[in-house]
Amino acid sequence: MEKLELWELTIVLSCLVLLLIALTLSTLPKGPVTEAWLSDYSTSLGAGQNVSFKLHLNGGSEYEVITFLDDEKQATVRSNNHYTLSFTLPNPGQGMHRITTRINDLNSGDSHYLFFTVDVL
Amino acid sequence: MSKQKNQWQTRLILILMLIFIAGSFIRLYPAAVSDKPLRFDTYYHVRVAELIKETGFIPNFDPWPAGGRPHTYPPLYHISLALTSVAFNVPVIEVSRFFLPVLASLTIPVAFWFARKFRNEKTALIAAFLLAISPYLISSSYESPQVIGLLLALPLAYFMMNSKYLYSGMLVSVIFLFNTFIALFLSAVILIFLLSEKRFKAMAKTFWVPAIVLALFFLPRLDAFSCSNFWIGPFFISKSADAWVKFVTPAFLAMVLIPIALIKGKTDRYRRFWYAWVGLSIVLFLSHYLTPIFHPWRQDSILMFGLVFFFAEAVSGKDKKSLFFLAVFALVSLFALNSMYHSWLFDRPLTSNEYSLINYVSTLPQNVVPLANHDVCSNLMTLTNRSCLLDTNFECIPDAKKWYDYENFFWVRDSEQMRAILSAYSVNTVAFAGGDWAQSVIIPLDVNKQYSAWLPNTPDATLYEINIRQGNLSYYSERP
Repeated sequence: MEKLELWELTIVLSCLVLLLIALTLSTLPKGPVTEAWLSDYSTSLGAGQNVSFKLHLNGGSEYEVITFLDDEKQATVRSNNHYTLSFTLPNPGQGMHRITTRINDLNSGDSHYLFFTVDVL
Repeated sequence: MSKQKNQWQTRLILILMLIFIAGSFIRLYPAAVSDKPLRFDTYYHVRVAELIKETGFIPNFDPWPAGGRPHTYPPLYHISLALTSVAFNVPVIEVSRFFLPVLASLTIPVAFWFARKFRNEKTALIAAFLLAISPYLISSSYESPQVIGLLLALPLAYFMMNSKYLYSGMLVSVIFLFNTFIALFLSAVILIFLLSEKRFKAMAKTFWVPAIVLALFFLPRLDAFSCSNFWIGPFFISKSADAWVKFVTPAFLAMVLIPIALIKGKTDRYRRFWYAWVGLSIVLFLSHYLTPIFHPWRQDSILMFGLVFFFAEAVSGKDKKSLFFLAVFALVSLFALNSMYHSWLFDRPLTSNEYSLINYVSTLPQNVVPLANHDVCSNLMTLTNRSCLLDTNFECIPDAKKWYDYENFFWVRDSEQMRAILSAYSVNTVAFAGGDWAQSVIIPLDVNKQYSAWLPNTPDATLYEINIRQGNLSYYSERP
């Protein structure tokens, strides 16, 4: 068979590169997912009522959970996967307050947080 | 001489097969490795096709979004998905992953056939090659039945150039039943083409069948047009050309001007058809400087499709200049493709943590209808049968201001804009995908970050509950 002409060679080589590109396809990150969610909290409280809520964790790592009332640190708990933690905090006083739980993933070093806003009458 | 001819034929077939295999593989592989469809539009089409499979028809008003909405999307794509699903006994969502990329791959041999009919084998081979490696055409092989329109546009053009106007018209009708936009685009190309030849009778021969089909489809749905005023209005006023349109404009203009400069010889019907195609495409693209009403991504794909045939003709000469431009085009395409092939464009629309968010929303009471972006909403609605505020039903938007505000919500720059949207429409829950950069803007508002899901080194997918107190949404504090 005759040699390929240059334009044919361009097409053939490009198609081979095209196949190579296709084979290098990597998909988006699909590693272990950690889920965290809050439940059993109230967004308005009467005077003297304590703040209570639950934090649910569903993941494959070890976590450190720190709760904050506005910017003030309240408690630190270590937890592992598939866990429900219950918290009760003192009444923060009249006005709008934010209750934050920071979740430090001890394996990856990442920090994540959840919060709810409570209006104390 | 005959031996030489046989050798050339064998080489031609082998090279064409290589082009087809490479072009098909790069289109089908992302669909095969993803467990879900790659584009959010597909999730909408899957819902309609599933409805056909279950009930045998599409109601004029969609039953799934809150309050219903006129259904004006032509039915043939949905019917094809439903029938394929029944024929192969596989779920519609599985069919939808492969249906369009398979048809997009078939465009490669059809392009070869078409170009060979009017030009030589070399030009045809180059056209098939350019079509196979075009990053634009590869990445647009997944979402819209416009792909079917592009495939059928080639036999349509074949009939047109052979003066078989009735057949062309019939194909326009079939294409219309798959997708209105591509049918209108092709009609405009045909119109320009026939006007340039002053063939007025041919126009009547071409368009009488599509006109009847269009009337039969839309007349029973006239009420659906009531929403188009709302739809077009805000789109004209509220947006201008984005940075991406400005960035690619010089490249697009160069891609049109280079083949025009290179093409030699007399303009025949074949060339006139592609002049009309490319000319109209570039005008529609430049219209983004006035209005984004013509979808920029889709319009670009159509432009690239026409340029393939334009370019194939321009670089099929025997001189070194042709070879140089062919090699440059191939290199640039492969480089661009390699860069974008690893992006979200070639993966399912959501990451694993975002799918966890969707599962979580599906466990909440039915009255929780979140505001979420298109990707999240389309997946939520199709995979869990739940409602979502920004659904993907584009063909008719009853309240465009509201729809546009919902879309804009994920791009606002300050909390006050966000608060205005949430308050105006009494939104009670917002689901953020990791890529929604406005996620941080919501924090100063009186909200609860109820749920979060994450992967290592990726942004969180979150669910926010909005606290409406005494009818108002206020700020928690000014703290970031």
